[in-house]
Amino acid sequence: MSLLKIKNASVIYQMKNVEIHAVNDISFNVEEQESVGIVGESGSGKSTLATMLLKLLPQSALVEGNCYFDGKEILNMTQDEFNELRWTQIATVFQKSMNALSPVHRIGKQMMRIYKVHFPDSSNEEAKKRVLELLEMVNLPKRVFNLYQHELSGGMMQRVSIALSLMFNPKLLIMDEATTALDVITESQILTEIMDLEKKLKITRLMITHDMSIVANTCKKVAVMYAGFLLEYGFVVDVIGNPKHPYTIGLLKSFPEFKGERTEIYSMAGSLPDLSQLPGGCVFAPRCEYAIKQCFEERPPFKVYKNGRKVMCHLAEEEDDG
Amino acid sequence: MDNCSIRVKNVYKYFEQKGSGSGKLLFSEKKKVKAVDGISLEVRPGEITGIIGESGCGKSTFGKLLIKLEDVTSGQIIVGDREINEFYKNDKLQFRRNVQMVFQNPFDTFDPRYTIKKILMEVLDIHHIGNTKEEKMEIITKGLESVELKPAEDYMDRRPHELSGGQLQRVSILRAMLLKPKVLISDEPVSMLDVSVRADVIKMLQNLARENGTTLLFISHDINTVRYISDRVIVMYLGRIVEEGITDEVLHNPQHPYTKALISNCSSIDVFEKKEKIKVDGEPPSPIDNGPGCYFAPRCPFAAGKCAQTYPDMQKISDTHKASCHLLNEKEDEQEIKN
Repeated sequence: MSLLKIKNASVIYQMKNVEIHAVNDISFNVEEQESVGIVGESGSGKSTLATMLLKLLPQSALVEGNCYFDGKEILNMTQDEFNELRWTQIATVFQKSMNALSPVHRIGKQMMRIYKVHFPDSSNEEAKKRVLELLEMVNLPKRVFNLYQHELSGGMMQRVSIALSLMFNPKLLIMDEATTALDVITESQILTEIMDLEKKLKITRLMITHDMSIVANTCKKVAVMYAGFLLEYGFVVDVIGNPKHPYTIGLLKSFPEFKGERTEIYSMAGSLPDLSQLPGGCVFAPRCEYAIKQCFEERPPFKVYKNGRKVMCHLAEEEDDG
Repeated sequence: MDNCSIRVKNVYKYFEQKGSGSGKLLFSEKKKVKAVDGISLEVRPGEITGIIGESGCGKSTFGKLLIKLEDVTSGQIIVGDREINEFYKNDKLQFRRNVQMVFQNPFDTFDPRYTIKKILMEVLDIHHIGNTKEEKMEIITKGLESVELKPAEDYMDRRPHELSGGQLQRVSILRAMLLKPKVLISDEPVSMLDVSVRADVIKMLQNLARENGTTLLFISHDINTVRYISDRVIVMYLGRIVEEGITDEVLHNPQHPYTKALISNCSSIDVFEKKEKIKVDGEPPSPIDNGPGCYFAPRCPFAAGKCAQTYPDMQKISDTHKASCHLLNEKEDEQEIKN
């Protein structure tokens, strides 16, 4: 059984005069221990999708569709019901841990408090033991327990955030641009650590990022999002090794490679469409260099390939190399 | 000022730490953060130089020194043929016209109440470019179109928040380039932008620099981008240059362990490639008491006894490539023994 099943999920933000279609009819499954990377430009709805899974969307947002976590429907749950799952089963690491930690409490103390939310009867010693365990797990020295947030560097804060998210051994870990703000070396240190922990603790990771290289190096599957639509989904090896959707091809081409000749970097013309008035045809058609007439008139269906790979494009060829 | 080279000689920038000594020792010496710790370098006119390094290595401070947003503690910076302190004091306007900067976050660099037209007009007014209003408008229109914001009329009356990050960064680059500066310092100009737009902005920056013969200093932590844009690369660690040279030479044949580590940890989208990463533990320490040895030694996976004792000198690897590491010698020593 899939750990997470997203079925026809849509999110519409209702503003004064307009409706913003942030997520449009997205379906995909996340299997246990198969980390999925969600990539896309800013404004492509990837963070909204994550917020939806955590049920943290504002009241004004209209959510449609279904999400099954471990067989249970979560989108129609009340907040109280979901609070049972939150952090114990589904945890998250946000981009700016600086804003996620309290500046006026010592790191150890605020972590202990969170422990006591789900174990209110536990003693201080118990909580402290767990917190120290967690700090060790993410390679932080013990002294961090008595420090304040501002005394830590960006990488250390991000580690604290990760330690927090692992507190109750969650099954699903949602990382929303968790390493974007870090340096190359720190980033690669943290990613390696996360991958080790993932194996040890049997965690499934949903990695939201705009950096294709992170997905290529750390995830098993990838979902490419654009303007709230899922354009391509499948195993990283298939999608990045042999991209079929013009948007994926463009994204990969605009990544400056380190090896080989220094050629012109490719850039995609245009920008995201207005999410309050989506075009009738393919959302990517106005920016697509291969677009034909059909693309502007008709929304393309998903073409399904082997290994569960899906591509939403009129022009994607049928199953070729088998 | 035709000669727009930058010459930097032994530049130091120390920041005094406030409140160190916890008030008990009133006359105790304040601790100094050595943000830039003895940099000497020469940038030829019209050259694009990339500066890479982790955050906290002093690359942004160095950029600010060049544009006089910070004053040097000691040392000398010569832009063209004039010392910048003297240049700035005598002719502030001329200095600003010749040395410009583009910042990381375009949303922080504009007055949110101004329209794009007013923002650009202000630049022209201050520097007395164009005589009549019509002439100025023409310069602005041409400028906006040259950075692919077409049709220009659409953008003129918008305010900064009505543009996307990529578009706004273009305006910010245009604002600097309208003056046709001799030197442009760009501090992480694309790290805020999406990959798909990033390429465009980099290309634009490169073209503008080449067209006007501007000397461009490109500060970034993204090695891939630096490789793409720059002619020469400087690698900084804790306020010092550890390696410098022609881009391809440095990045494809790195000599300093820090450069090697940076490159091996740098991202790649090749899913089939299995790269051996050089593991570097810990984080860069704050540059307060660095000790006598090589600054990178405590984290260096190859550090030997000598590394903790003396700071290695810059050594020539080829005419266009220099690095400062003790281990370079050892390799040569070994070879000599073999021979």
